[in-house]
Amino acid sequence: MNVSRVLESTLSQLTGTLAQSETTLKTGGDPRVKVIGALLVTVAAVSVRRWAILAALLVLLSGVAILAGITWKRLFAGWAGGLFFAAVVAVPAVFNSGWQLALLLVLRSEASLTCWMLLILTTPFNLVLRALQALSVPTVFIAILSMTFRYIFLLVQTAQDMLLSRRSRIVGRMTGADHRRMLSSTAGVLLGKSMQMSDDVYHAMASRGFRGEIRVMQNFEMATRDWSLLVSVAALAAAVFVTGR
Amino acid sequence: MTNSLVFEAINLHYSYGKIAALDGLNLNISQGERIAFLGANGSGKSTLLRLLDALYFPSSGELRYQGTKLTEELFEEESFAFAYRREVALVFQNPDVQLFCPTVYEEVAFGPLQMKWPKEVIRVRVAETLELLKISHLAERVPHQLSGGEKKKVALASVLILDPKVILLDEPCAALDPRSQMQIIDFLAEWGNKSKTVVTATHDLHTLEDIADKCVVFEQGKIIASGAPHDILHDHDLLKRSNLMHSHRHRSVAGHVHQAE
Repeated sequence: MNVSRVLESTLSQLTGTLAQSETTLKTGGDPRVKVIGALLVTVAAVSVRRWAILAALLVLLSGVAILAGITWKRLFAGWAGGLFFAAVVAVPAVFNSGWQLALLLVLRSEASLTCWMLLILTTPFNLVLRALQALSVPTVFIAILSMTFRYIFLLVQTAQDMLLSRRSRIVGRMTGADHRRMLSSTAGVLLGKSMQMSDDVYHAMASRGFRGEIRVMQNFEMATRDWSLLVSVAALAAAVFVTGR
Repeated sequence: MTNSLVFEAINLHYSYGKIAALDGLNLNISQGERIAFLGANGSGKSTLLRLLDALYFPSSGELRYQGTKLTEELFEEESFAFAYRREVALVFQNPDVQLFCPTVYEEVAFGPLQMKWPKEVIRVRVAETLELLKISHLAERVPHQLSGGEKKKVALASVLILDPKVILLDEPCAALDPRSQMQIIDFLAEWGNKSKTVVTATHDLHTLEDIADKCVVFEQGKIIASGAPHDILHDHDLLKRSNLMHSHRHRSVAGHVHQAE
């Protein structure tokens, strides 16, 4: 399979994943609790030095994810992505410090990733942003996240269209060098287009009164269920932190 | 805000770097007027719409809205910015850039939410606006997954909920099938009962008489003509000069080829 086919296939999968991420599972709950919980568990996970504790945490989080309605397929897809990046650090660690450290690094990243997948896949993104805002995250940071999320769909779609239109005009076989040349020129054009598009998306938001602050229809009110969840997650994070050292 | 002149452009210049998009434009738009901007690609129509929506500000010259000169500083004041955004709305040519919320419902509610309307009022207005455009059944759908015609209607709903006094439309029928085109045109023709100001940038000469009472023809950032749609549509030399019409060949049913305009 040549480079541009690989890229097309990746973009196509990315489009599917992004489309799915728009239809989040409706699990309810206060998004502020979910964000705080994800943060606490992540901090606990990265501080753990025993791989068995991390493995147990990963199993627990996976169980919660499955109960929340996230499919195994989706979980595996997320883990595969995380594994790719963790491997960059973990593979050299196998040779330098042994397999246990490598395993620890991989489990840390996968447990943290699962935690955030759980948040993102069960909470609409605008509510996550609103929760960050309620937790006093700077507006500039939230505005950038918000723009990125809105704009990434268009960017991926444009990249896909460009590659497809290129392919429709290619006759015969291209060499590896030709593919690389085509991809680099496509990347250059895409950069120019993406700047224009980011401008347009921002203008479309500003045109309807957006001034950097996220507003949503839902009101945040802590129910008993939310307090219980917050206490449980804090207890879990504390247990992981203490037993894992 | 009692001036019947809604917009007043005085020697308006706007450039993208060294490329002039608008070059010394003078134009008045009155309340309740339905005006169409005609011109080839790059003639400055879309740029002018963005200036009218106060997304861009003039490089030089003046743009006034109901007598008030529009400046970036003025839009830093929240009260003025919200009042203006409520009264003047822009529907973008590409609905994909305008539809960025997870559901159609939230998309339509986006503007009022930004302007801090009470949530009860927003709920009522969203329901009414969706009903007005006959898209209530799309409320929970993801905007990106809609058809071109549906996206355009949602984009329209997302600004009509604000009940603007002025609506700016950039190629409202571009890339739509004939049925969707006619639905949008019919809606715009009836909307506001002639009390609203409708400014449309378009290439589409077929729908001109339905959407405008006055046309302004652009060429290279300048106005080269203006008048009633009927007069503009019958000035073939003008239309050819501004790349809105050209001679081309038609193949008839009998297989003969003839020149047409």
